[in-house]
Amino acid sequence: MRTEYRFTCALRHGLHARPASMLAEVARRFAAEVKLSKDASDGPPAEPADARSVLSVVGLNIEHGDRCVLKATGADAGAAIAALKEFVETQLAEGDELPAPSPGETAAAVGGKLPVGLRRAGVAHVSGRAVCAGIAMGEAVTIGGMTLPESARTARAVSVEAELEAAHRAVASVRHDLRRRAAQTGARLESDLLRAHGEIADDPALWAQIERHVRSGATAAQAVAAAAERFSEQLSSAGSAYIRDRVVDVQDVCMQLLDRLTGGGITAMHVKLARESIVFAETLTANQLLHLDRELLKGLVLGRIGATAHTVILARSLRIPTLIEVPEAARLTKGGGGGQAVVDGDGGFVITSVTPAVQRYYQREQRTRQKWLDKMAPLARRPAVTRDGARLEVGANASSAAEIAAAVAQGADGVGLFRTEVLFLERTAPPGEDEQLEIYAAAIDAAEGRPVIIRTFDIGGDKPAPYLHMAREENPFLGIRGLRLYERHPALLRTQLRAIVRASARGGGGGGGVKVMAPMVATPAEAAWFRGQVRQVQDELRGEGGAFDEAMPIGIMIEIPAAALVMDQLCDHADFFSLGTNDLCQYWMAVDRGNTGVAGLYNPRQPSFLRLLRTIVQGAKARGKWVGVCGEMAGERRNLALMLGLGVDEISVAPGDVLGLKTAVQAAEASRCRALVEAAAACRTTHEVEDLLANTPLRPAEGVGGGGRGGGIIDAEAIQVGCDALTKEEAIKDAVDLLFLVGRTERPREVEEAVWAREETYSTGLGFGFAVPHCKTDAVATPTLAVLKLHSPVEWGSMDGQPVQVVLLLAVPAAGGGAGGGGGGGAHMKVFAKLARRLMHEEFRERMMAASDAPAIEACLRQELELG
Amino acid sequence: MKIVAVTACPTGIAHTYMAAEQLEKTAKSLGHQIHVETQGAMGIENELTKKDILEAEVAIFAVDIEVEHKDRFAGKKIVQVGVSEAIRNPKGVLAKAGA
Repeated sequence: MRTEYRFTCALRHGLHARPASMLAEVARRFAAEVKLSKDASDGPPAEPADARSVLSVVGLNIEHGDRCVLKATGADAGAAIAALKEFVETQLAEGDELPAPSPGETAAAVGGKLPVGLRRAGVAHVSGRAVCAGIAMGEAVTIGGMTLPESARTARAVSVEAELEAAHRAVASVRHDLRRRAAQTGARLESDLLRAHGEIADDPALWAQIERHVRSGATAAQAVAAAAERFSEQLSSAGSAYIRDRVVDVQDVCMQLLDRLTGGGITAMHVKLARESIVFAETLTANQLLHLDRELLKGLVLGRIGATAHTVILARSLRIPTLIEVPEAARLTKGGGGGQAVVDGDGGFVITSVTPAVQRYYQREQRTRQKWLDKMAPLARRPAVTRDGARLEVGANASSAAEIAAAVAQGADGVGLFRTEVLFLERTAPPGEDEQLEIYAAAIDAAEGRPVIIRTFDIGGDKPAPYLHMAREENPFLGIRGLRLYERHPALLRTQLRAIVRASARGGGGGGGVKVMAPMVATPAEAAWFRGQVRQVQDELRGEGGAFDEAMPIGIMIEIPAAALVMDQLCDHADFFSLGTNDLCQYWMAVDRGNTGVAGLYNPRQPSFLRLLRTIVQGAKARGKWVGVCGEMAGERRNLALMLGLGVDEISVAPGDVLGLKTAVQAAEASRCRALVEAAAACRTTHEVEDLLANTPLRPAEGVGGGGRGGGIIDAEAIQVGCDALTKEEAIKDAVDLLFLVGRTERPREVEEAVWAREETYSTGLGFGFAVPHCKTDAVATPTLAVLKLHSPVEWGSMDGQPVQVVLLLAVPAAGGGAGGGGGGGAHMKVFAKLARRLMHEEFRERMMAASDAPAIEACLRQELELG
Repeated sequence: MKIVAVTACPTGIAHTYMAAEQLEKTAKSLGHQIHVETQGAMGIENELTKKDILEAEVAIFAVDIEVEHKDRFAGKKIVQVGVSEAIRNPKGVLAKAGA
């Protein structure tokens, strides 16, 4: 029996890996042989693909609008075609979304700009795309690709049967090995990866290719190499980067097959690192990466590999500074390596000629970073309490235990939002109760006794999971998502709630426990329903004698404006609230922030939105309920005054923003902010609100010379005597880094660029051993000064040709720091003017030269500038 | 001798004031009367009055950028130098101005 079905590919991104795997799954349910081909009326017919093989289906490179034919032969061909037809018509579209970038990926730099200090030293570098931040130095080691040893290349096949048998054994052995390792590893990412590779080893298309080559006279090894090449070529030509990145997976599996077939002859799989190393490779498979000594692997420089390749995802999870898309990556090192190399994952480049200048630069960079960490550590441990005693917890938004650990290290007071939908996406079946329990338990453990708010899965039309069989919605954001999905999938919610309730037994207690929260709640009835579901699961577990926290708070997200006006009623059913300001603002303003035509309206500083927030918080506070804010609004520094003024209990932000916000809370005064919120809510435009925020400092203005943190123009910690800089470049970097260390700038490299841009017009060397490098830049908020006294004078191109020993670095905000600026900017500028004038007097210069330590310099400046 | 001067540099943070100080200090030591207007990051300070300009025999511009309200000096003898020259060699600049 033979039957067929024709359709046109409606998928926006074509038939990529995910829909292909869904299609393959349907095809595998039948005994019939199912072939898929492109209906190429205008060219030679393409070779049909085995529909059960994801590799072959993806290899067809079917794009949006392509006409396709499915043909089935065999006993149940009719049923197979009927099922496939139904699948294509009703469900295929749901596999259309490409996987969302993981957090951090979006933040990765597409860089390649050398810091100005190195640029001026004439350092050669090669740019790449940074996918994991950080700096690493080590021995350059080049790892080659999948090359067959000479003997295997020239070997003759023994017999077709013998070669097939050898290939069979290799596939079985690799498959077994992958399964064993998947079961053994504790890391989810790694086990998922090994399982995916197991599927490739099982793929009928791979086997068919191997068999074909063996039958035409190749040895098993030659056949595997040929098959690998064919699939690599096929996938490489795909339009989607995601599919191209799967090439590495095929190579990974084939490399393991070849290594078995050649008795360990694939040298690229057996590289042993001897010292701390930077590995250079054109492509590196995840398996190769896993075989390297993780203690010695410090950085990765890769060529033809994409950001979604498993190797990259793995490198990121191991926090290895990594560059991809580096041209000729494997040829960058001299003679296959041996020299030193530096990977700069913040700047997005690699340096292979590590000169003393480069070495010194990165030593200084590491030193600055270490000092910053040392300085911040005690602040991170201090509670987030304002100077006038108001508490604002700074929590973190996270979706993995690793992110929570990073946030805790930065001083996070808890996890304000633990997202769980990632567990449900990118897979063909939902996660089981034990799998979820394991993940929640790891998250709770990583929080080390701090509260963790677990949000039940928030899935909607924008991030579908294939097993939910969601119908296409005209407007997914106004459709079935979040809590609205739960009634349709009660088992899914029940399983998750069981895992969360069981995990609550691990919570720290005493406010450090587990809390559960539902997304997309619009009505009191929904809130009551959700609470009922949790209670039901708790009753169930009580009956089973399971342990859990009876007092686990049950809360809801406030992200639908309708909820804001019934806060009194919602309080009957919720123990706490968390404001999802992203969606709340979109729904409030009727704006899709991804739509550039209206995105301008999307601004959480809309006065009406501030009034809405005020209503919500007041409603919750009237009943003594806890309120957090977990939207992006909470993470933006300039909104901190609004958060403090609204009187929320917590802000939950990206792990990387925790420390900065926590120290900002510690420096702020909440009483000033309350009046500010009232004034902001009375504004008529976002501009007015933003001006108000920009011109209202979080703390009272200090005297110009004031000794308080961050306020005064002179900070004893921004004075360094005995600086070991050997060049003007190093001295400027050191002076700028001082500003960074005293918290005057968060973007030191921008300040450095601005200083050098000014230096280009003419040298700031005044003569008499003094230099006054300076700049205007948005990277500082107030006019600020750093002083360096160098151990040995450096050449500066001064007016009198003499080297410089005293460096006074002045940085001024590009706008608003002048006479009219807030925060005492005008007064600071007057001090700078006076300093410039005093420098023209010999007595002043002599006093500065004679001052032998930082306190002496500070005293001299204060006295001469009459700062008291 | 009565002199007026204007100093202005690109960022208006340091050199504007250094040049002003040098000109004032040196002119006074030579027994001249000088009035220096700075055009810096804080805007115009020590603004020259009509009377100042009218009475001065010469105007010195120690600037690296365009002088603001230049029309005030129409018909006046003007000596223009760079800011760094005024810092490095204020005596020489004054000599150029005939002082």
